[in-house]
Parts: sequence; structure tokens; C-alpha cells
Amino acid sequence: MKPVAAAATSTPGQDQNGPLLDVRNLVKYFPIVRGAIIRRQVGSVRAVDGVSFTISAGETLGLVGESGCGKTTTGSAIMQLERPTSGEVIFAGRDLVRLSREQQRAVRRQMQMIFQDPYGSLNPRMSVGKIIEEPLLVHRLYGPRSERRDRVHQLLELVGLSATFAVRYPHEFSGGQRQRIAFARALAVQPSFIVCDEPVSALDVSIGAQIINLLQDLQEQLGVAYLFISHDLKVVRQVSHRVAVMYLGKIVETAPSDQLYPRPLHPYTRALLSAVPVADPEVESKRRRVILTGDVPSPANPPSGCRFHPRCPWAQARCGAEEPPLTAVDRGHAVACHFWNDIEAAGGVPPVRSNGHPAKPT
Amino acid sequence: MSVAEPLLTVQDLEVQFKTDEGIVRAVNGISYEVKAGASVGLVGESGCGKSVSSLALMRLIPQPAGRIVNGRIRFQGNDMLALSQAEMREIRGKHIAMIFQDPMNSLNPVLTIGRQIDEAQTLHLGVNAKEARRRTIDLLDIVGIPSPADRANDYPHQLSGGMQQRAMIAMAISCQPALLIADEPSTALDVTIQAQVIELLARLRRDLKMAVILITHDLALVAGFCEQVMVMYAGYVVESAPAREVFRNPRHPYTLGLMGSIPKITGDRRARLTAIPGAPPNMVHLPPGCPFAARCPFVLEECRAALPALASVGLNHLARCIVDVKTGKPR
Repeated sequence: MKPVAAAATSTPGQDQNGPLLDVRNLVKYFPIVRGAIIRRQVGSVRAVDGVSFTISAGETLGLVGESGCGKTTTGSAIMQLERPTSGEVIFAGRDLVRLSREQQRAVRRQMQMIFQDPYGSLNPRMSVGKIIEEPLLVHRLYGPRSERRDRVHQLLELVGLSATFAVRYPHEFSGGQRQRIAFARALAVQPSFIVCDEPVSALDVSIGAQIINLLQDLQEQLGVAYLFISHDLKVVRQVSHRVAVMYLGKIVETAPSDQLYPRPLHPYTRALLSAVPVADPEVESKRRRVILTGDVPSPANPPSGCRFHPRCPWAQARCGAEEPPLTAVDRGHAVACHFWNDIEAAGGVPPVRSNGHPAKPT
Repeated sequence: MSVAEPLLTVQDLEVQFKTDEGIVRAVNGISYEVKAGASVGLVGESGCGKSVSSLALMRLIPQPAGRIVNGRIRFQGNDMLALSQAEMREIRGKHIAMIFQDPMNSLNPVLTIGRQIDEAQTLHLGVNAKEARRRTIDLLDIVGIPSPADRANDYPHQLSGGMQQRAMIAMAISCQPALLIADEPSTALDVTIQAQVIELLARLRRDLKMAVILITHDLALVAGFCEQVMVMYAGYVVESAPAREVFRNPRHPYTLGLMGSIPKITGDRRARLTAIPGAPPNMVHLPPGCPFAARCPFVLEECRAALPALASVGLNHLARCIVDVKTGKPR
């Protein structure tokens, strides 16, 4: 089989020419518009509010957070599906935000996307073969028809499906198979980078595991880099070399997976990790949970200072007044918290709060 | 009702649905008991029959397509399948309550949540409107909704998903049911909110001495919550044991596969998941033998011929498999 994308380079994170993707201070606001006769903007939803990160060739960055934290908007702003309000998205040395639509199209061949819903993301009226062939036509990569057909067959086999499926239609396939078809379509144009937005969330556990393995196999074979967006910390750990934790439009902590999970520093990361159910009754009966009170505030009106302070068990007066910058604390490990040091020194046990709601062990 | 009789006994329950493709055998003879105050986890993937089997307890199988074709359900000494519709209405909501995955679809959007919680109580407990509202505010407080007197006048859309689920739970426990069926109660919620809801359910179970059947696809959720676990596959119970036993000593290949499919939060990150190959069988054309045979790494010739019995493999531990998963040889 001929290589489908650029062959895997050396270990991820070691590029000489800078990262594959460099996102700098990315901002995306959505206007809130009122009025039927005179339309006027009365505010904005600050979905993504100054997010920066890099992804190297062949690397996976996990972007994790709860609903409404801006992780999906970050993905679409990188893909230019949403025009960023400001900031730079530098892919292979070129700032996508500044390119014209036509120039973007050329770059976008190297960037593809996988969506959460494998039922909504495949056109039900096209055969699987047509679905996978379409990006080749869009990007004018076609040779003779027989060559395209061979390529479709080759892609189907690459994602673990039979080449005979090309003549069938999406409704004939299960969710897991559809997600494989989505991967085949994404890989058709030999991308070096794929945004995976919750690719296994709609699937059953045993099928999700198959897709996770496929994703990792493809990375090993083809050297493709992923931005892996998910709310599931266990899945993110499995696939990601590095992880960025988002809360209300900001990255609050970022670190290599091997550092973040044993040593979470931001109170929000601590709470998230302590909330993940573990398939072991022994662990479950002993663990201490950092149970957060309240819900995520609206991104249209985010709290002052540290956006997490109204829910943070460790919050102090300074947190409401002054926004903590994302500060490097260790190799590749950065955290946006004024008091991470004190919290870690205290063993990460939340203090009893004045309102009488201690974080209870469960 | 004798002292020794469990709260709920299900025997050989079979549920089928007529569809255009043929008869879907959703539940194929499951039996279990729930003691008063116990917590039982029903675990499995989509289409395994976990939800249908508990809808059958409430006699809420969609008619006329669905039908309980066999089995007995005894609850508090009543033969549930022999009760009249009026008697069932008395049991539903009052003695057995249910909460679902999606609170937004379970709450009436045009009534305030207070009104909806009042209604259950005036109907089942015969209290007057004023007393019902007093109790409702107390219930909302118990489930951790701040300023409950004000929130009672809110409509469902004014609450977040986590708060809606709390309101659903308040409604479910309003008549102090002996049994609460929680069908994926936290699946639609964020991780931190999910932890809150599960913690709330655990607390209420203790305080109200209420039995809970937790239906979920998430094996990990069951680990912290349930004493007894049943793993379902293709309409069959394939393994049943105390929670610790299931996790420490899984005896059915499907349970093993399910555990291998869940990424870990600690340990070696580079180890690949041991995913289960293939997909669950078509429920219209179930194979004659073990329904898991086609995906099973331990499969033997006999497995495809006849359905293995749910047999004892240890103390209170049942597995529907003829292979010892530790040796790979027939038991």
C-alpha cells in the first residue's frame, strides 16, 4: 500500500522548523443581538477568550473541559469554520486568519475534522464510496476514475472496513462503522492534522475503544497530528501526549499527560479528576472527591478575576480581583492559579468554607 | 408479605417487540431480586435490554408493539403483571419511582417545577395544595437546589441540566418510594455535575432507606454506587455478582472486554485498549448459541451450538459462560 499521508517523522514534539500548529491568543466572541426593527448588539458570548497552544507533527493535544467551555469553538476557529474574532492560527508557518478563502482552501487540505455525531456527519444520499471520494474532487486531486476507486478501496481497508462497502449507504452501518467512514473521508486528502471533536462520545464503550485504537494506529502509521476535543478525561489520557484543560473560554492548565494526571495543580483540574468514576470499588470507597458547588457561569457574563473563583473551594479575595496568568511551573506544565503552590503544599485537601460547605469525602 | 421476601423479585422476564423486520427479542429471561434498601447496577451497552427490563417492572412497555411474553414480577408481595391499570397507577410514582437520562424531556415545559412536584403529592399522598408546596420546598432543599422557595416557581427551561435532574429526583422521592429506578441519571451531565448527582442519590438512598436500581452503560459508575451488579448483553444477564467481585474477579468474557475497553486514569498510558472486536448481534436474528460467541476471544465450538446457562461460579457469583476465563478452558 502506498503511504496515505506524510510518513511518521521522529518522536512528536521534536520539530526543527517549529510546531505544525501554533495557536496564539485565539479569541472568538459571538454577538448577542436584540431588537426586531433596529438590531443592536447588547453583549457578546465570550466562547474562546485568549487561548494559545502548539501542536507538533505527529502529536496529539487533548483539549478537555465541560460543555460550554469553548473547546468545540476552539476547534472550529482553528479550522476557520468560524472566523476568529482575533488571534493567530499559524499552520505550517502560515497564519490562516489572514489568508483569503482561496488560499485557505489549499492549506485546509492538510487539516481535516471528525465530528461527534456519525449519523449527522455523513450525507445519507451518497454512497460510502462517493463520500470518501468527494474530498479528492473538491481539492482537485483526482486522476482517472479507476485510480480514485482504488484509492477509496485502499482508504476503506486502512480504517478496517471492507472495500466492498464502497457501494453501500451510510444507513447500512452502525455508529462505529460510520465513524470509521468519517476517518476514511478525512484521510483521503492526506492531511497532516485532524481535529477530532468528541469522536467516541456517541459510541458504546466497546465500540469507542475500537475507534480509539484506530486513531492511535493511524497516527503511528501516518504521523498525523490530532487536536482531540473531549469531555472524557479517561479517553483524553489514553490518546493524548499533552493535555490542555479549558474552563469558560480559557486554558487553566496544560501539561504532558504523564504529568497532569498524577499531579493536577489547578483546582478545576483537581475537581475534574476527582469526579471521574473509576472501575474499581476499592478506589471508589477510599477516594476524596472535590465536589464543586454550583454550575458553570454564563460565558456572556464571566466572573471577574479568575473565572473559576465562584466555584473554587480554595478561592480567596485576590481571586475575584485579579486574573491569574497561565504560568509555567515545570517542564511543559503551566497553570493559571494564584495559589497552586499553597494548595499543593496542603495536600490538595479543600478547606472548610465559611458557608459551612466543606468538600466532603465520598 | 413474609419478612424474608425481597422487595422485588423478577423471574424469567421476557419482553419482545414486533417490528417491520421481525420480532425483536429485547429481554430474554432475566431473573433477579432486590432487597429493601439495596443498590443494584444494571450495566450494558445500547440495545442490551437494560432499560426495557426496568420499564417492564413499571408496566410501561410501549403497547401494542411491545409485550411481556413471559415471566413474573413480584413487588411488595403483589403480582405486578396481574394488577389492574388503576392499581398500577397507585404503585407508579408512589412505591416505585423512576428518573431518566434527559430531565428536559421528562419535565413538563409549561408547568413550574413546583407545580409538578406538588401534583405527585396531592395525587398519591392526599395532602392539600398548601401542605404539598411546603413539602416541595423542603424536597428541593434536600436535593440541593439553592433558594428552593423561589426555584419552585421556575419553569424547567430556567434551570441548568444538573438542576433539572435534581428537580426530577425531588419529584421521584416526593412520596418516599421503596424503589427508585435511575435510568442513566447522569449520562447527559458534565463530569463534575455527574459526581454531584450520584453523590446525591447515594445520600438519599441511605437517608430514605430506599432501594435503587441504577441502569448505566458506565461500569465505572457502578463501582462506586452499587452493592450488586448485573451485566447484560443482547437481552441476557451474562454475569451477576457483588460489585467488588465483578471488578476483582470478572468471569464472563464480555465483562472482561468491557473493562478492557475503558481507558484508565492511572497506570501505563501507552498500553492499548483491549477493545471487543465486532458489534452486538441483531436482536431479530439472535444466534442459537451464546450471543457473545461472534466477538468472544475464548469461543469454543460448543458456544455456537447452545446457549450456556447462567451458572454459579463462586459465592453469589453467576456467569453465563462455559469457559473459565482464567485458563481459557471449559469449566
